[in-house]
Amino acid sequence: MTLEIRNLGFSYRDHEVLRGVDLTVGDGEMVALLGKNGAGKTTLLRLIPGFLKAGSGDILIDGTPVGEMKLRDRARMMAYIPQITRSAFPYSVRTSILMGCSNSLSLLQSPGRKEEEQVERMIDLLNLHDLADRNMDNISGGERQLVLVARALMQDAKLLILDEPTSFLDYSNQLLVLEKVSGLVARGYSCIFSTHNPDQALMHSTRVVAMADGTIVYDDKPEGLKGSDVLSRLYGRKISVIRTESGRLACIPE
Amino acid sequence: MSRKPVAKVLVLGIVTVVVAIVALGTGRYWLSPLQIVRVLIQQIFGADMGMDRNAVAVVMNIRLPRILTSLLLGAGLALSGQTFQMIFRNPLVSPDVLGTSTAASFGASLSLLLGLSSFLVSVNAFVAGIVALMLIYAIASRTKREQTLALILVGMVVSSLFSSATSFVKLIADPNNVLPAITYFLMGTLSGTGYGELGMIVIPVGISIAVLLLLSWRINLLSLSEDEARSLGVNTKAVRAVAISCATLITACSVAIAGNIGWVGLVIPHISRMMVSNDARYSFPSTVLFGASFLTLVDCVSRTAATIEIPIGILTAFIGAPFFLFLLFREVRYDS
Repeated sequence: MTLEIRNLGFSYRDHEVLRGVDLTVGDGEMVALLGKNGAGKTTLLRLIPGFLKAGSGDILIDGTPVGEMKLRDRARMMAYIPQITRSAFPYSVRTSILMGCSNSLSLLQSPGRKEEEQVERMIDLLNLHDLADRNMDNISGGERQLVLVARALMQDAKLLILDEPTSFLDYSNQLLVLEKVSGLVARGYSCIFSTHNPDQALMHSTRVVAMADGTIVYDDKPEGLKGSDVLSRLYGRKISVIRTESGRLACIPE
Repeated sequence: MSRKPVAKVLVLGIVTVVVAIVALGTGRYWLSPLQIVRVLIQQIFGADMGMDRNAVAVVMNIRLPRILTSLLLGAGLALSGQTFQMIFRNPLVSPDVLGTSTAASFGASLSLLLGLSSFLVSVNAFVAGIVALMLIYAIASRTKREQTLALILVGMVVSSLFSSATSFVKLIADPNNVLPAITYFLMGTLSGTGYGELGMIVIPVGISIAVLLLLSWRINLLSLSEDEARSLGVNTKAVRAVAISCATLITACSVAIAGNIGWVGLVIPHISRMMVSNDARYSFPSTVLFGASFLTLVDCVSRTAATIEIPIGILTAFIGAPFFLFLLFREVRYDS
């Protein structure tokens, strides 16, 4: 499955948020979206699943404009995972995962045995056995995020859209969530996530997209950031990217 | 499929049947549950169970229509509240959140002021409630705000308008006969409910309850954020419109024949979620059964506790509050 964004533009009233954005995401890619607050990351991520309507340009999934797809077909293509949310009516972990199957049910249908067995497979896949019998209100933020990933997989969606999946998470949970998602990408899923931590982009992504003032200023492999001044210009201070002894990339503000 | 909630729903079903049978026997002319069962068998299957004509007349003509109405309205009001709470993602919401029952109250008061027949009082209350809903929807959809918030805000405005209008009607009503009639009607009572009243509401309320029960899974998803629900493939606008229409239809019908019955729609949903599940697949049926048995029980008290009828709208809180407090102090139960 390929997501193709062509010459995308968007404005809130007179304020231009995005202009001329071109981006293609294919299978097995994990795209990290970097940029300061207000650079247009969230707007871009909300445009892709159709929460916002594009001002100009096209968003295509395998050549079909997203806006022309039915909601349930769209849900089968891509899943949006919000930042940590608390529900007024916290459901059990199993019920939360089960909610992902809704696009395959008719309007008046409730999930049955087949869908419940599928939930167990997702629990196996993401190794969530310790959480399965608990409530969404009784697990940590990172665990909740993983449950939402499992729900996304229930949708059968191949493209995962995560808006700052690690904000509000402690360090170990940040790593946990991104490692699990990387594991899925290695199996052929694709993912686009935004983050305020460039180290996450260097460590977990297969591609980095940096945005400033509503346009894309860098779109290449994370290795390309080494020796370039992209991050320095992006965040307005000197940041260098180094390769550690184990071969990993890391950034260090000077 | 988790078995525990299903078992709880089944138990509640049995409780409801028992409550209904006991309620049929309760009153100045007391009949034991066994006698009630015999009367019912005699009437339904035509077999002679040896019950005399008086007992049959009291049960079938006087108590049965009233108890069927209290079962139906209790179920409907509670489910309507549960639906509104989930759709607006707010456990403090009651069926009156959009002001439709305030509008229905106005319709009824105005009709009483004009001296219309009790049939027209009901019809006008119902019409006023539905017109208010359409008004609220029309205004809210023209605002550029998030729809659930817009609906609540517009509902507040419409509600206060109708409530002022009702006050005005009371102000100009004759304090000797019309004003007490209005006041008594608005307090909420099932006194004098017969097959005629039941017949007016059974189809709209019955269908609304059925539709909401069928939509329960989708309404689960509506209780997530708007974006989440949409990204899971739910047509949030359409499901919300259908669910709100059904819930409002129930509320308007209820005011039309019984005036304002508070508390049921606010608290029964909580009790049902606390005792059974947050998952609407289980909380909806349990809310229906809880609401039905609760209102029937309260109505029983309202017609037997004193020599005059105590309006049911007054009693619901008196009887429900201690039970609700008891639940609040219990340990928190989580769905698992």
